[in-house]
Amino acid sequence: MSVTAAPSWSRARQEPGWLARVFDSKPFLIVACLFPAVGLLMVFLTYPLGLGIWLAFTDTRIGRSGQWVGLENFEYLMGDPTFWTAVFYSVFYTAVATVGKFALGLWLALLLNNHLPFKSLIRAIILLPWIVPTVLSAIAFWWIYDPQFSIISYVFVDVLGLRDRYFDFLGSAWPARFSLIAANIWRGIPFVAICLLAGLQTISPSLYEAALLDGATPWQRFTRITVPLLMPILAIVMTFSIIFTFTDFQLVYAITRGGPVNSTHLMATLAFQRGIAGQELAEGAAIAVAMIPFLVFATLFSYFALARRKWQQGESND
Amino acid sequence: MATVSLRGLTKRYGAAVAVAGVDLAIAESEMVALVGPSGCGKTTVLRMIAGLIEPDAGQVLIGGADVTRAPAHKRNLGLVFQSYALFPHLSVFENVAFGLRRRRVPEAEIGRRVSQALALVRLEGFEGRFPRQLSGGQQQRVALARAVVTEPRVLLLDEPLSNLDAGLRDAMRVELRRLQQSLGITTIFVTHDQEEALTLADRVAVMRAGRIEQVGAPQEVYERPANAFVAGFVGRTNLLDAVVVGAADALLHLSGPGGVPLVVRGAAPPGARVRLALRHEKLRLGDAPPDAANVHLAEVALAAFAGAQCQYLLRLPGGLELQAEAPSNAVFPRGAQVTAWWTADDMILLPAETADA
Ligand SMILES: Nc1ncnc2c1ncn2[C@@H]1O[C@H](COP(=O)(O)OP(=O)(O)O)[C@@H](O)[C@H]1O
Ligand SMILES: [Mg+2]
Repeated sequence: MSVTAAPSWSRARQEPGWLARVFDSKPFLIVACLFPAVGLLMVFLTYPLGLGIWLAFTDTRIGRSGQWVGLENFEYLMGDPTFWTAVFYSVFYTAVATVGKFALGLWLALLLNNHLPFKSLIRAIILLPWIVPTVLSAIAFWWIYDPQFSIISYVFVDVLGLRDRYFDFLGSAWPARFSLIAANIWRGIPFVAICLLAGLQTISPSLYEAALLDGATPWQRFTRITVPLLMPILAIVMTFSIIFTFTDFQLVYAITRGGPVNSTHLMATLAFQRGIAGQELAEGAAIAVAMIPFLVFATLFSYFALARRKWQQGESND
Repeated sequence: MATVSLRGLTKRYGAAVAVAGVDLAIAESEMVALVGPSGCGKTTVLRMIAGLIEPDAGQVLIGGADVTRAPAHKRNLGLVFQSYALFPHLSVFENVAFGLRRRRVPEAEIGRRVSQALALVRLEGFEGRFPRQLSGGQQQRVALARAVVTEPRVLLLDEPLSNLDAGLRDAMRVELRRLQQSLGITTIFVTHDQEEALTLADRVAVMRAGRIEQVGAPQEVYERPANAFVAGFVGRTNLLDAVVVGAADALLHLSGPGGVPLVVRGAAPPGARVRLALRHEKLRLGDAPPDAANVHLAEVALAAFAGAQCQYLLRLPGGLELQAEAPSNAVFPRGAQVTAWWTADDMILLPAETADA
């Protein structure tokens, strides 16, 4: 019996067409799939940012394209007291408002984490300041702080009779600054409270019971269990809150427009004031660019504070 | 170490009664299991003993003193939670030391007692790890160490082994017993696994719907179940309804389902309706000895091989189906005709019971 060559059962593979080859090649796929996302980012994020930075180094005015002037805008700002007031107030505003928001927000979250009657209704109400458009609540605060029609003055003077003169909330520098911070805290509390409440609810109640059996006091349960377990989410929320507060514009612009005498300008409102209202586009851009180091610092803070703590590492193992 | 005694312990959640008058006395250094199906109120009883929830009625006595209204940390108990409840942000050392620090024990003594407790659960060298870096069994042992390091009077364990896989569970069962005996600590543990309760405990309390149905040594509960529920829950059992047709020589002759004649030791008036329990392993297959009072020809309806044992479903001529478990040295195939037999003492005559069973 002669040995014959084993017959080849598989049909000869057809060479794939060029289209199929293109769609099979990895480099092409990478480019094709990334293009839409990268394109959108370039057009809507990178281009305006790049343009803003470029403008900061020119002498552009509205209606007149400018020339490259190097650091001239920044040199001018260095000697501008209004700019330094805005830098100071931006930092002060962010610091005080963040402390206020987190103290009150955490307190509120702890309250809401208990069993309360009408819990879900209260949670819904708490979100209201955050849902209302900022400009709307800014206008409401504008009325609340009005020298003649302020409800607070009305209550203190006409109802309770505790004072004989109306408050002058917005008429001088420091009262105006604190009034704006109060408005910002009011607006920011819901975000902080709801985020921290979500964090609190991830902590297993049995941890508190275990501590209770060992005789931990309520304060010890708060400092030994709640705070360390809340740290990861606290760091995230705080980073976001700092960035939102530092770049705030609407509240200040709607209530005081930076006055009285530029004392309540934030860097963002001053940038708008100089760049758009004052037509010095390049100078406004320079102020905006000066905000970048502060924001980079806040982001770095988050990066290091959010770095996974040692106890979070390792697989959870059941 | 101390005694624990529960008197009429009751807890309601709205209209639902989670625990309905539990009475139980636990002796010094005794290990008692609360066993029952899920939702029967075992955890609630344990949490009332621990002081984490307040009973609506009844008393908890520890060492003879009424602690019903005492706060949890004044009771000096150790509790191992079902979820272990280890502090994820603290190392093994700090987890175990937590209770000692709250009690303001000096630092040197903390070090000594923590290493002692970790040695007891065989976790030396794990002091610096965090709970996430431990396996389930190791986490459970940390929880145990944390519960015993404060030298509590009573140790409470909520489903201590149910989160572990089968092999580890057997190993931990032995560990747990060894630990309890070496410390001589009064222990109450909760489980839904009757086998775990039987193997581990000095005494078993079988619960159903917030009540204790029977308390006794494992053997006693197994061999003399107080009612059909206990007979069905503890061990693998056939439950049969039968009518008494006659009595002779302390033996009852009954007519079972499908008219199958049955013989059991016991007393009941003729015509009485009774329930019988027949353990799977008491039903034997093959040639019957002369003293076998119950001998039936049966067909193997199902046969399942389970290692050392084979499980069978047998169909008797009257249509009665019985389950049996026999050593697998002789395997009967499906469809085979076999002789099934058991003695008058193998079957348990259950006390007359109210309609709910
Ligand atoms: N906090 C609670 N609120 C309402 N019902 C509860 C609560 N805790 C337990 N129960 C009810 O009480 C019964 C007993 O629960 P539990 O003691 O946890 O059962 P087991 O531990 O035996 O599974 C269950 O029916 C359960 O639904
Ligand atoms: Mg339970």
